[in-house]
Amino acid sequence: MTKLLRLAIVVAAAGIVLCLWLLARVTWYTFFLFMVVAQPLLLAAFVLFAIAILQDFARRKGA
Amino acid sequence: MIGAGVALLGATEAVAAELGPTVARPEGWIGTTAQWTQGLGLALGLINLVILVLAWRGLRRGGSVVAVGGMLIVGLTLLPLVVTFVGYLHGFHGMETVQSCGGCHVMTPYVNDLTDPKSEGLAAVHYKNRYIQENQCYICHSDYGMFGTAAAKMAGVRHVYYHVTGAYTLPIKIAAPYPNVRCLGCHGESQKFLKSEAHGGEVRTQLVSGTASCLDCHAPAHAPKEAR
Repeated sequence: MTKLLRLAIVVAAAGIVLCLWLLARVTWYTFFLFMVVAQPLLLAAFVLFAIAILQDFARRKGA
Repeated sequence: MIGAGVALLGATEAVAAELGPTVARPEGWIGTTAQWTQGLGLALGLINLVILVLAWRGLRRGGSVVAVGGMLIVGLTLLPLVVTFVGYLHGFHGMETVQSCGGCHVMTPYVNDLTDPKSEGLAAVHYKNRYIQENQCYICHSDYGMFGTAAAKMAGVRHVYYHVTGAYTLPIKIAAPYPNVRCLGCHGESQKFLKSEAHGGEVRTQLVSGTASCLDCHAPAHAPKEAR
């Protein structure tokens, strides 16, 4: 679970860095990266987080 | 805290000045909404990164997941949502600028013509006299209403795709005939237009219906030096 959470953190951090790039300087390139890369990364981080939580619930239920 | 806020506002103003016109438009002492949006987004994004680093360190030190659970919820769900929303606000606003449109090298001749005070192209006349205050490319090349804005954004994404993949030929041409409604949206009710004999009678009917184009008489819209 910790590995999943770490992966989620790294993925989210990459997405946030791209968001910061857009916020610092708006060009078509940064907006395109924001739309096509940053948002899927943030969504992936959320999904990984959700999976980690569900795994934890399942583990506790089994214990 | 206040000092940090002022420093952040100063930083965003510096970025805005880099992108903005040579003579700043009046905006009051406290900055514009766009600058505050940018500052807020940057601050929240940095806070998000700090929270993620703290959560990472918490996990690395063998801390329980419950101990960093709050940070994970904020850093992986709540703040990214807010930062994304602010990113949209700021991104949409920033993409409407002339500098943004000129970001692709294929548009450089047109932006150079637009901003050339010696150019007599229709777009340049509008620009140098500030008939349109800001975002001149966007104002003239997007339709009115919410769907006009959405269509303009989609067209912009398509242009980026063409630019990145090189799927275009030179000289570039406008994708569809320029609709009169974009001209008439501003000029249609002006006294100069209404009282002009050239725009009276049958001509006005044709202009409103779109059977005649404003550019039939007012061309060229752009006169880039490369084409002169």
